[in-house]
Amino acid sequence: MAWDEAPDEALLQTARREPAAFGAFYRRHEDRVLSYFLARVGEPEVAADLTAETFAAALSSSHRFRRRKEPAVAWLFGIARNTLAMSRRQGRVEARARNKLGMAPVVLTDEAMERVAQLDGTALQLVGDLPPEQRSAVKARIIDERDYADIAKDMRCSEAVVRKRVSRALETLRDQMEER
Amino acid sequence: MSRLPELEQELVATAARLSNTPRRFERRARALIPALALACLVAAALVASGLFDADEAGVHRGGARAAASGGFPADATLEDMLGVFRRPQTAADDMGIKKDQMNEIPDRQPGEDFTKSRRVEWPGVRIFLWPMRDGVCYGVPGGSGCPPLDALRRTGVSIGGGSGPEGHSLYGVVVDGIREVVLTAKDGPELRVPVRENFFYADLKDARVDRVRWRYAGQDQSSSTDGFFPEETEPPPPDPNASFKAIPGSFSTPVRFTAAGKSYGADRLAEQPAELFAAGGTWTGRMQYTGFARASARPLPTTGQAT
Repeated sequence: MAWDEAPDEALLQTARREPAAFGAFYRRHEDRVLSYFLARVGEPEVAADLTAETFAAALSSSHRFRRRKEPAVAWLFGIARNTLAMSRRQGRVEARARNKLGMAPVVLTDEAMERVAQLDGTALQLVGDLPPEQRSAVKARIIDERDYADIAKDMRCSEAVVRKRVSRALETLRDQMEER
Repeated sequence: MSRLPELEQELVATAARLSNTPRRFERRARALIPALALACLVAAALVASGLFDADEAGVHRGGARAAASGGFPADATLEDMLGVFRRPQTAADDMGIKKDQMNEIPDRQPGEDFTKSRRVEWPGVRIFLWPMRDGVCYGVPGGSGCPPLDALRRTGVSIGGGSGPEGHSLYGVVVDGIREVVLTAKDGPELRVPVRENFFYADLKDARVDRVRWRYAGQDQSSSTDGFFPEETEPPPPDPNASFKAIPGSFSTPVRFTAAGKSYGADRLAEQPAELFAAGGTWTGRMQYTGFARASARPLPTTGQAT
């Protein structure tokens, strides 16, 4: 399908006019977001719940997305980090975006949970296979959640270089996840 | 396939709701303002002239109901209603008919353009959609059709069917927002057919279908296609009491005529062209038509020789 080949930015900017575009965006990033949450909460059900809220929030604000310096995937992970932080503060998974959109509760099957559980550790293993400078950049930005200026200072390079390394690393991870 | 297809489906359905709601409202609002103004003027003029009776007032209410059921305004275009035509065309969408070959197609419809086709990804079945003037055409194994956009605006769905040595198949074009078509038989199980890229296709073999329903995201709407594979019958005659709606600008020049020795004048002849709608376009046995011309006449004072 043509949407599967479109860039992230185009998918987000057309998501509110073309539902299938958001479906393609979800499929493209589902594994990464699930892996991100799974590495932090450990439970597939909670990871799936957080993923649902993250994509609901992304859909809700997709019309406001504008590509600036960060790629769309960094914007998505920003939402994921906020969702996790809010949920931790409240002691339960945030559902504001889903409620706002009137989304029906998604009942997940045991098979779906099994598929999520299979992701455990996969993404982190793949991060270990990245070139050293990309590995450090993606670990600092995505796993340690540090800001670009801070990472650039440590790495003795410009913010633009860090952003480029993170972007390339995420692209590589995406390709590798898709091959599995 | 995603790891959580249920979540993907719900997100896409939510996106569909978002895509329909504001645009539909805005378009309706835009379309309604001049239409309402015109309707008020026409209604005032007609009531003042005493030409239209109470039945005809009901006609306009009926028209409004029909428009609401499809959910798209009268100016909705092909791209507005069918998302498959909003996505970029790819090499896989090519039907293999070049522009200079199109004139060789004997029953080509007005404006029918095969070069703008889209292939619907359906397992094991080759399905193509392509535009024509004020309509959309489709081709499936053993069948094709060209439903008018007007029908899709009003009803949201155009259903076609075909028969072959393998049995029946049922298929059709559906507008954005409809995600599932449900086929039921009086004594059989329900068959849920997912919609892909504004199309559904069901290979029924010899199963009978008595009712077709379609589901918008978060809603359920039923059609009235009871007895979908009936015996072939003659089309019914036009119902003289059926409702009709005048098309702005279609009023004829005043007509004078004589009946039973009395002179009449019909100052305004409201006319609606017959809507000939074949389900799927290939199924003459299912053809139905509505619409007719009608005049409101009033006696004229005798002024001389009637003609």
